[in-house]
Amino acid sequence: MKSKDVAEYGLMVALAMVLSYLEAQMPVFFAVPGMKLGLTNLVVLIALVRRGEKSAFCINVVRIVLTAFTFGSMSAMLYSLAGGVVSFLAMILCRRSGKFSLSGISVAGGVAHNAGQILVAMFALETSRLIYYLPFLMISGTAAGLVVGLIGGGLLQRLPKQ
Amino acid sequence: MKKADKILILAVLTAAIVVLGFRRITRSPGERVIVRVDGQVTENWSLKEDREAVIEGKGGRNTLVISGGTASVTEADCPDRICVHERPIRYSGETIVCLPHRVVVTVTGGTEEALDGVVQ
Repeated sequence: MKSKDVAEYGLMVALAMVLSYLEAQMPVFFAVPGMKLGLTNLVVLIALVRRGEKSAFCINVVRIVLTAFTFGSMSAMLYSLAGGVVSFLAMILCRRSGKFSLSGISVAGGVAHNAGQILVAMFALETSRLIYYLPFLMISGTAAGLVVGLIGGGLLQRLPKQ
Repeated sequence: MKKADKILILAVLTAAIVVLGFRRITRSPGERVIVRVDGQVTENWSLKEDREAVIEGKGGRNTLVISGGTASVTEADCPDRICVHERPIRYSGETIVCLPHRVVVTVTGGTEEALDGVVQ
């Protein structure tokens, strides 16, 4: 690994942590648990396009673990990991199909993130009642994913080529 | 955006709206308020009787208010307090959750779930 790569990975993890932190500081506008913008996924999307699947996955997992140790708790890390892994799977499937642009990939990631978290919460709280939130989260996940995907597309065009 | 992007977005939104619409058409007024902590039913109250009660969750407390046929969480000592911001619930199936305290409050139609609570 070249030192330039090390620097870029470090930057991405740091940026993802800052965005996670910022997002956690936002006041609750949305009265549904799990509803959020998912700004951190910007970094994952950009890593996916610039660095490929393995690198993006590593950056994502390192970001989740470090963020949980720094600002969060163990249970928050579990929810975050579940959302992160399911979302990542959905995104690489969409990307491999070759049929989606960054916006579609990001929407799939956003919706899958919410679905993954609900699933873990249903097991953790031992109640199927939480499925109640799924339709609301599908709508918010689509909107948030679209916004993040469009921003990500714009950013990628402006970033210097490697 | 490609065609597949639009299809994906439309499909997800349509599915969600259909489910919400169906739920709205078939919804029935609730009878009981069921409180679960960590998956176990701990309280089973009537939605028709006003009350204010403190729920002992895992690692913290939530204040539940039942008033005028609706239930809401008015206070909580968890960090995010999302449960406090959730809308009051009144129809069967509607839910308020406090993830950090593992508390789930659900309104039910008052038949099968009420019996479940009595058995507990």
